[in-house]
Amino acid sequence: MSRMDRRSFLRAVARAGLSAAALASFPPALRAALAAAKPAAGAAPDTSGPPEMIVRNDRPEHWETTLEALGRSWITRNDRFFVRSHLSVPTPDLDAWRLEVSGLVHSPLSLTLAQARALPLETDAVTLECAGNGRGLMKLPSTAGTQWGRGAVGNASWTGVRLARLLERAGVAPEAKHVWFEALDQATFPGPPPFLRSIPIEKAMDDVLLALAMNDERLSPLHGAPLRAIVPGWYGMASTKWVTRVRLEDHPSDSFFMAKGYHYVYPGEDPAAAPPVETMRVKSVITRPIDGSEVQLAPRTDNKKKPRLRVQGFAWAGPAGVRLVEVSSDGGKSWFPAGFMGDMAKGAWRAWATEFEVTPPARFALMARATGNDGDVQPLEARPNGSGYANNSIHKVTVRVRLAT
Amino acid sequence: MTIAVATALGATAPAKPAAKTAAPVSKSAAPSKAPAKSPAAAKPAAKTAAPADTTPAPARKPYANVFADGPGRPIADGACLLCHSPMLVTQQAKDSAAWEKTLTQMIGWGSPVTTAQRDTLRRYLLGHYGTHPPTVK
Repeated sequence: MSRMDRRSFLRAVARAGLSAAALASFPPALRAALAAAKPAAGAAPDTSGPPEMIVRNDRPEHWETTLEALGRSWITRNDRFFVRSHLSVPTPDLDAWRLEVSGLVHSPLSLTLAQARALPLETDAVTLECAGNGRGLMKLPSTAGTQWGRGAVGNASWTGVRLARLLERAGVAPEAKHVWFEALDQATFPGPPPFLRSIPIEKAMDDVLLALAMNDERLSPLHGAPLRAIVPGWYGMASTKWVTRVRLEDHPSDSFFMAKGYHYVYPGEDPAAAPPVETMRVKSVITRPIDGSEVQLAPRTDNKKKPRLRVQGFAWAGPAGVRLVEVSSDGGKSWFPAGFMGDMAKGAWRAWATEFEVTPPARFALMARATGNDGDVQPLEARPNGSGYANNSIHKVTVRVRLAT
Repeated sequence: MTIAVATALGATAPAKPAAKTAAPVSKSAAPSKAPAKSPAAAKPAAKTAAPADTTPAPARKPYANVFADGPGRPIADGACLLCHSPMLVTQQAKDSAAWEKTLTQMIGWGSPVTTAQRDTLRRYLLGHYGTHPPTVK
């Protein structure tokens, strides 16, 4: 564990207020370090943390963006971008760091960070969504994992090396079928499996980036510094952070997070036949108005027309892209298309908006439903699966509208 | 940007008022017919906007970050906190079988729980983090 990791780990453990018996079960070195961390006596509730984020877990970091913050811009700010890490954030020695390309290639590569940064760089706006986004809203008999709301999603501009160019440089052997991303993150404790994922060679040769920068800033440690994969159209688990080795193999990785984790295990079905979680499902989120809020609308100047309520959000649909967003104000009986606006990029969500004429005071529910270019329509209720993956149920918000005085 | 939105609305907003439908909720909400012209009506997302902070809301931490007091708490502290914070546990609502599955996985990954402690820990977790209706906060 690096010095920084260890310090934040100790702070977190200190905050947790361990019992003497628990301390006794820790290794002696850890006990001594904990004693030195000196938690404040009668410590107040922990109110520290990233602004406008919902901390669903603080170690490892599982941070969700509030919909208020998410809705502000097509590009999500770096310090408002959701964070999901499986293990401790690594802080590698950047002088010793290497990006290796190995396995079934003709010429293995080993690049320093300076060499990687000197390669031709490309920039794509790509939306990442955690596979567990919405898990906390899925109706399951038992919970599993982090209970995300709707904000484990964000859109950033990623700059890096196109993986296909790098693989062409290394020369892909014909028997190579899968690309494994090996990363630097490790558990604080020996035992948990490494977070190792692989993607099919077809995807790797298509649009995958090895990103060095996020929204024109070098990647931060939380988001995978110095280099991470960006796999457009796939749920976030495919976009491995802290990548240090790209390994070509003739088979997919058999690591825990490929073979067992990230599968749709539907109740009553054979887990061994569960399909893997891969591409993102069609989905939209309403960022305005906020659920449960009261909106004050100014009267129209001619006093004859009704005031209008603006409804807006984002929609995405994996590799297919989103074709249509419709909004309902009557519980889904009738749907009206919203307009798309602003920027458009292949791997990125689209901003949408519409307006409703309303007669205040009023209280009603708004729903948004997206349709992908492949014809997939967002369902009213996503089919529950045991781990709560890919919840793309239609988002419904209730709002009260008053006339501004 | 206002113009872009107005165009989008003009191009896609339906001409038929929703008020004609029978739904009570829709009586007060009809889609607008005309393109929006009021600048106040439109506040579209900016391309690379990084709006300045005014007073950003503080972080929300919706789950307890200490384990509930109880006979299994020292075991939970020792078993769980080497790798993750209590929040990951306190937000759960699992039945006995689901907690058993979690214990099997975590012990398999090296969590220091003895055979003698295992039942106490499962009962503790079930008692405090059992299948009450989960709510996303």
